[in-house]
Amino acid sequence: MTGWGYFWGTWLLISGVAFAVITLVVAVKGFQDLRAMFAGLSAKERADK
Amino acid sequence: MNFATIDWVIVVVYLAASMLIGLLGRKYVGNTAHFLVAGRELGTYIGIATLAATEIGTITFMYNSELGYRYGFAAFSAALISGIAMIFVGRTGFVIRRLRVLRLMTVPEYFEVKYSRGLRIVTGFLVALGGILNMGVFLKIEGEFLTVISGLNQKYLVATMIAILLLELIYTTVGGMISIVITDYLQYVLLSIATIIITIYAVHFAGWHAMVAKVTSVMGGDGFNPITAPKFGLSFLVWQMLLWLAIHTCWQTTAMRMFSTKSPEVSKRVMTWTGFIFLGRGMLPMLWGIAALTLLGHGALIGGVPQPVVHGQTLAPIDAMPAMLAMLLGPGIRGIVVAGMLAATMSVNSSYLLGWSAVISQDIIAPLRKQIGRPPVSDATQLLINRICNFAVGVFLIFWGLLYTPPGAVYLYLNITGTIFLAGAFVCVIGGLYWKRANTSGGYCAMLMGAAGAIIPFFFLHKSESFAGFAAFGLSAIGLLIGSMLGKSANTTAPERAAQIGEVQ
Repeated sequence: MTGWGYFWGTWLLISGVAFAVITLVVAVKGFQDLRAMFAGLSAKERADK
Repeated sequence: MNFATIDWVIVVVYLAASMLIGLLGRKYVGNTAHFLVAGRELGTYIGIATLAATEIGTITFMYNSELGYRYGFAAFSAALISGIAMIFVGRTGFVIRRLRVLRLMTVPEYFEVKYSRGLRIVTGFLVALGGILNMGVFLKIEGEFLTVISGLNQKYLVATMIAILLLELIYTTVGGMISIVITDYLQYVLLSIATIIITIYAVHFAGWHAMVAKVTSVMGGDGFNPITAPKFGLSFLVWQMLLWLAIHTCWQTTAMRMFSTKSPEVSKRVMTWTGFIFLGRGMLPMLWGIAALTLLGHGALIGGVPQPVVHGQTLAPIDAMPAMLAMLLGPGIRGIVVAGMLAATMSVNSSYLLGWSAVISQDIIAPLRKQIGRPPVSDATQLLINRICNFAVGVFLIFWGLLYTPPGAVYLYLNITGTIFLAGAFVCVIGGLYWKRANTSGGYCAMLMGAAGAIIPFFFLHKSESFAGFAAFGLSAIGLLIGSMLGKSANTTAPERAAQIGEVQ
C-alpha cells in the first residue's frame, strides 16, 4: 500500500470513529435538548399571551 | 422482490412513527419565527442532529458511493475538504457568527439588510431557482435506490415516491421547523445506525486489502492521488475548498440551522462538531462505492472503470451500492437499513422544502409587496403564505424529479448547479460583512456575473466543472470589486442598516 493508501486509511478510521461517537452522544443529549426547546417555546408562548 | 415481511413491517412502523412525531410540532407554532427558525431555541446537540440529518440524505449516500466507485480513494479528497472547511467555519465563526447576530431567517434577507430590497428579490429568485432545481433530481435518485434495494417493481416507484413526499409535506406544512427538528432527531439516529451497519457489512464482505488491490489494478496511482487523478487535480481541490466554504456559510438549509440556534456561540459549536460528521458523511459512502466496485465491478470498461454486473445484468455505477446492499443484507437488517435511508431522505427533503419555500415567501413575495406599496400582512397570513409555498414547491418537485435525469456524475452536477447562486451569494455576504465599501451596484454585478460564470462555461462552452466553478467565483469577486468601486459608497455596516430599516425580527 502506498503513502496515499495509509493517508486515506487513517482519515477513514478517524471519520468512522468520530461518526459513531458523535451519534451516541447526540442520541442521548439531543433528547434533553429537545425537551429544553419545548420548554422554551412554551415559556415564550405564555409570555406572548 | 428482495424484501421480506419483516422488512416491510419495519419500514411501515418507521413511516407511521415519523409522521405522528412530526405532527407534534404543530402545537408549538405560534408565529413565523417559530415556523421558520424554531423560535431560535436550538441547543448544541439537537442542532448537530438537525444539521447533520438535513445534509445527509439517500441522495448523499448515492452520489458519494458513485464517486467512490468511479474514482476510488482519490474521491475521499472531496469529503476531507467538506469536513475540514466545516470545522474551520465552526472554530472561527467565519460569516456564521455575524449572520446569527443579525437574527435573520433566510440568507437573501441579509441582502436587504446590507444592500437593497431589489437585490434581495433578485438573490431570492436565484437562490430559490437554483435550490429547487438542485433538489429536483433527488426524487429520481432516491427512487432508484429504493427500487434496486427492495426489488420493487418499477411501476410502483412513482406512487411510492409521491407517498413519501406527501408524508413529508404534511408535517412540514403543519409544523414547519419545529416538526422538522423533532423528526430530524429520530431520523438522524436511524440514518446513523444504517450508516454504521452498511460500513461494517461493506468492509466485512469486500475486505480492506481487496478494495485497495481492486482500486490499484483498475486505476493505478490515480485511484489514490487526487492531484494526479484525471477528473480531479489541484484546480478541482481549490474549487472544492471555495465551494464548501460557500455551502457551509450561505446554503439556505444550513444557514437556517445556524439562525435557529440559541446564540452565536451555540451555532459555532454545532458547526464544528457537525464537521466531524461530514468527514464520515462523505468517506463512508465512498467506501461503500469502492466495496461495490470490488464485489460487482466485472463488466465492460467505460472511462477506464468496469461497469457493475449483477446476475448478468449491467447497471449504472450509481446503482452499484444499492445492488450490493440487496445482495449482502439479510431480512430484518435490510428493513432497518431501508428505514434509515428513508429517514435520511425525509429529513433532507422536508428541510429543503421548508428552506426553499421560505425564500419564496420571505424574500420574493413579502419584499415585492412592500415594493409595490402594499401594507405588511398579518403573522397568520404570512404563515399561510409559507405553507402554500411549501405545498407548491412539493408539487413542482414531484413532476420535475420524475421527469429529469442529471447527466454524468451526480455529485459534480449538484455542485455546479449550486454554484450558480452560491458564488455570488458567498462573495456578497463576505464583502458585505467584512468590507465597508461593498455596495448595491457591486452586489448586483457579483450575483449576475457569478451566475453567468457558472452557466456559460458549463452548459454552453462545455468546459469542466472545475473551470466553471473557478469562473463563477472569480467573476463574482471581480463584479463586487468593480461594481462597488464605481457605485456609490454604502458607508453603513449591516447592523446599522438593519436598525435603519427595522427589518430583522
